[in-house]
Amino acid sequence: MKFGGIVIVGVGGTGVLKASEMLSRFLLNQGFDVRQSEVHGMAQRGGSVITQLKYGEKVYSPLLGKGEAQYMIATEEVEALRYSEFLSFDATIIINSWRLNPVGTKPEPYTGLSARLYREKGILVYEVNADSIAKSLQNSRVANSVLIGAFSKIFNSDNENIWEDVIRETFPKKFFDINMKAFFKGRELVTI
Amino acid sequence: MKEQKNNSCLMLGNEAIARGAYEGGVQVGSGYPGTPSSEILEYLSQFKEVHSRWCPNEKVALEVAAGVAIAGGRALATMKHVGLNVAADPLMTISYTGVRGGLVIVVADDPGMHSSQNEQDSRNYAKFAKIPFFEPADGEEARIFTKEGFIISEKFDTPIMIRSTTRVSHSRSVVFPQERIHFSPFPYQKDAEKYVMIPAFARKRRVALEKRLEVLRDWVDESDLNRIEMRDPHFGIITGGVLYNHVREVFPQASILKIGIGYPLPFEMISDFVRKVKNVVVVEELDPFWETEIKAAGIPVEGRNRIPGIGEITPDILKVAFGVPQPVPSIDDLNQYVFPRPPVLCAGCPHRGVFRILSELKITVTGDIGCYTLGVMPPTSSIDSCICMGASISNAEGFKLTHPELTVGAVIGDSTFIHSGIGPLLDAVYNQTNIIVFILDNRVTAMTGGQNHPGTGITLMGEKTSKLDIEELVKALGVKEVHHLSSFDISHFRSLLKEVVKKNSGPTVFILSEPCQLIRKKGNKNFYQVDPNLCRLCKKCLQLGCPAIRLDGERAQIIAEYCRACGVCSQICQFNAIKEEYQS
Repeated sequence: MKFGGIVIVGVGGTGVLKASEMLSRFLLNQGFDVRQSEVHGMAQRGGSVITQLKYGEKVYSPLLGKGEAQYMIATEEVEALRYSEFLSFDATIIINSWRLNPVGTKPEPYTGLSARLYREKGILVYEVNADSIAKSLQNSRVANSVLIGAFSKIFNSDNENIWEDVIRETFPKKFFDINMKAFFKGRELVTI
Repeated sequence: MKEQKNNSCLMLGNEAIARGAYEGGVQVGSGYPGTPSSEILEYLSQFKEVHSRWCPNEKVALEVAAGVAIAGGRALATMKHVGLNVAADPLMTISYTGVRGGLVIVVADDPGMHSSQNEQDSRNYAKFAKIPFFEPADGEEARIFTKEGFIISEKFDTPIMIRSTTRVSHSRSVVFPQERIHFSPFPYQKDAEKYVMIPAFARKRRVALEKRLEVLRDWVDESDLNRIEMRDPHFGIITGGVLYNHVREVFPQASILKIGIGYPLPFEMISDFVRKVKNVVVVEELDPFWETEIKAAGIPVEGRNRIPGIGEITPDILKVAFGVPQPVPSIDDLNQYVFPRPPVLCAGCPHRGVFRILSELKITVTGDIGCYTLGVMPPTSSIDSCICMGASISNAEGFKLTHPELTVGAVIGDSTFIHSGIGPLLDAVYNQTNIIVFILDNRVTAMTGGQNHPGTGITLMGEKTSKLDIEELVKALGVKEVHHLSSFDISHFRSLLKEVVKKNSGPTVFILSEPCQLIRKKGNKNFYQVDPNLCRLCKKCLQLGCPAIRLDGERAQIIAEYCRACGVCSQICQFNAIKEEYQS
């Protein structure tokens, strides 16, 4: 493997940037070279958002090509489909079981469409109810930490101390506890 | 510059630029926010040894920085590519005067226009102004090049431009920070012949400028900011910036001449490279800037004949350009199930209602740069032009001069008005153009992430300061009719605007104030709901385009979770069917 690739996708304002920051810090901590590309400004006003993350012994380009991501974390199910071209056929996907329809149209509960379509392609999909867990923690903004918690399990990362450091470095002090809780909830959710 | 590498950390490119400036002993950082450059000064402001400031616009920012440099200090000015257009006036002459302390100007281009109105290639400015520019490829280079910039600036008595792009500024990579070097400003020295650019003195500096370029041309061939990486002697690429990384990844065997100093180019090094390596291609984004320079020097290379000149160049585009098969199969047939999701004005945006009224009253609206360009999107579809900072007001004047029968209005945000709207409004007053100007005052520079400006009363360093009173300013410019009201009070706004339209004797200014919903503290958990007994299914509230209002069957429904209780929809509803729900 030249490098590993992860895409984190979702809707602007759902914590995509913070989720990638957590992952990048973690991978750096694991001794990898890391490059991560994000989009600011216009794209954050409720629009579609993607960050691309690459890790390996030495990484040059911060951008992924088609089929170069082995992992996708999606904070919303439709966005999981928009960026399918980045995924390799042996990819693993973590989808927040939440759907956000376009402005003005009827809201729909989570449909499971992306999970179904990806499974038909033989892709390993984990559906994580991160949104409701975050709400049960009284903070809908920590859904991203729930998803990262799930990822940590899937990525076979057992060293919880490292994740604690990562969360401490990523969030302001007053949000540390709640993100730690969310992270462990996400971790507990996944069995592999 | 040789440095000992120790504690590594992950940094956004913009953070690395700030780090480099800090390490380089910078005293003052100045700029105006603009994607993808905004975070540089935000990071720099965390260092209390440096005075960092937002200026009203990029021209002011560069002039402040130039003043520091002429007086003997080290200064950093930051801006996005189109910001350099605004700062071009001082740039062209500070090149003549040169500097005493180091002056580094960071310009961030946006190939692919992720968040910009054009994709100009700012490298042309360096040649235009006859100053060197450095182009870092990643965070670590951004740190080193910025730091080095101050030394080179002082050594050659020239401003240095650092050219970044979105993928350098907004990528995270591993950086090895160093300590700040100690630098005290040079003692002040009057030197009128060098810094007072009256024609007699400027003519002398004009000659000095060309001499400086000659010296720089010799120096670039020696500098280790450019380098040759010899690999395959049959395939060579000349490249720089983020594209260097794409090339390294896609063509690991290619020989590379990596350009670190993008102007003036190291022609001896390039000739040498082209002699040693066959089939040399210049890989660059946007304009064929290097290719043209290299060909003009009589060195045969390829370039634009293979590499597209529009938009961002990605590793995949490079593969196509060079006929490299895509090695990995990918899943590319699932995006057919996807609907478009463009950015929208936030739920609770204090200026959504204004757009509704403007389209309701059929006003021809010229737009400006900021969140409110999103007013162009359906369902409000209320903006007819958007060119550059401040252009809304002057464009509106042009519309009115051409079509006096139209009711023409300009929408402009508070930060944009302060940046470039004051002159155009003065023009409308002076020339008595009958237009209506709507200053959408949300007390922040919103689109770029909520930066302070002269109207917020707080500096970049977090200190309280004088707060511009926009109403008093507008009156002082000579506007006779000024209406200042809450942008949430749209019923009042509608009736006032109807009168103004009827009166037809501008210029008139509306200042519509309410803080951006991203900074507004909502004291309660109230939200609005549609009363199904009163709703007549007219769907008028849906025409607001609010993310919190959805269509459920035939009826509009408000999603409590998204509702910010701004109450604009309840004023739009003719049947009083939208009511506030109180939560304790």
